[in-house]
Amino acid sequence: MTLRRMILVAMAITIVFVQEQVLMIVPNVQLTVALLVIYARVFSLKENITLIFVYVLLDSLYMGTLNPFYMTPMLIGWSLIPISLHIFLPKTNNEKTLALFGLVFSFVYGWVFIPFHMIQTGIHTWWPYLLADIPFQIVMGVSSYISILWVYQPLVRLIRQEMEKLEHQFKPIYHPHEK
Amino acid sequence: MKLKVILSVMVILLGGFVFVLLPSETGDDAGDIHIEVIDADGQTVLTETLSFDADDSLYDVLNRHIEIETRGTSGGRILLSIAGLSTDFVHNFIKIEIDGELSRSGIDQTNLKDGSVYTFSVDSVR
Repeated sequence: MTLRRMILVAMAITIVFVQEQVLMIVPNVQLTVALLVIYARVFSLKENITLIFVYVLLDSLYMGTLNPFYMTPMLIGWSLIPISLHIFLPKTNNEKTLALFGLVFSFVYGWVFIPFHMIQTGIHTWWPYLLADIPFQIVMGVSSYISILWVYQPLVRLIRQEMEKLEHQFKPIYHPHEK
Repeated sequence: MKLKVILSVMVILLGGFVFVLLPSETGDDAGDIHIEVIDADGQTVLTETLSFDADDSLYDVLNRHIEIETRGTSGGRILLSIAGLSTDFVHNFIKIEIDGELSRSGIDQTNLKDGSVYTFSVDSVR
């Protein structure tokens, strides 16, 4: 990863982190899914996994819960976005398809936590967790669907433009081997 | 643009519809509940029968009659101590059982049922 790509990834992490903190007042309403779907289209898989790892670590540090029972499912859950987009929808740019992906993903993300909650609490029945989480998954699913549907195309376009500008700015004006 | 608006409205309506259809536990309008507090040694330190009215949560009833300490979180209040039984909520917590079954909600969300036994005991965080 080049230095300028690392800077871009760092900026992307900041955006995800800040929006999540700002929207924390409304439970499960977030732009994280939309942003990670957008990042999956503008960054490589390796960059996306790095971004998610740092974001989860930062989020856990800030929230004071460096708890493996939360960090591990978060890491697995968020990583599913770039991995599944990379495998199942590698070339899709259709915001309606991606919005549907975001809706389904919101439920899958909640399910990833179930085995970890079961281990942590020692209650080995899975359905109460599944039932209790459904209202939150609906809120997350609806907010993910709507945000992807509306912001995916303009944000992907904007980020690509800014990335091109940055690439252009970083072009060396003097080449050491030139005479 | 028009399609996006229609899809957004449809998803919101569908989400709201499923939300309404979800089964919710309803409590009784009024009655009596039995409270048991069990310490770390398994000894019952408090047994009381308390009455409740409509719109009372478990927190309201406990707060009126028993010495409790709570902390507010975004998901509702958490119980830190009850009748001298206290926890740090990091290494241990106060477990709530309703008629012998582990409660699936906290003291703010638990609906009260006439004649039910609410047992409070300390359990460790694994």
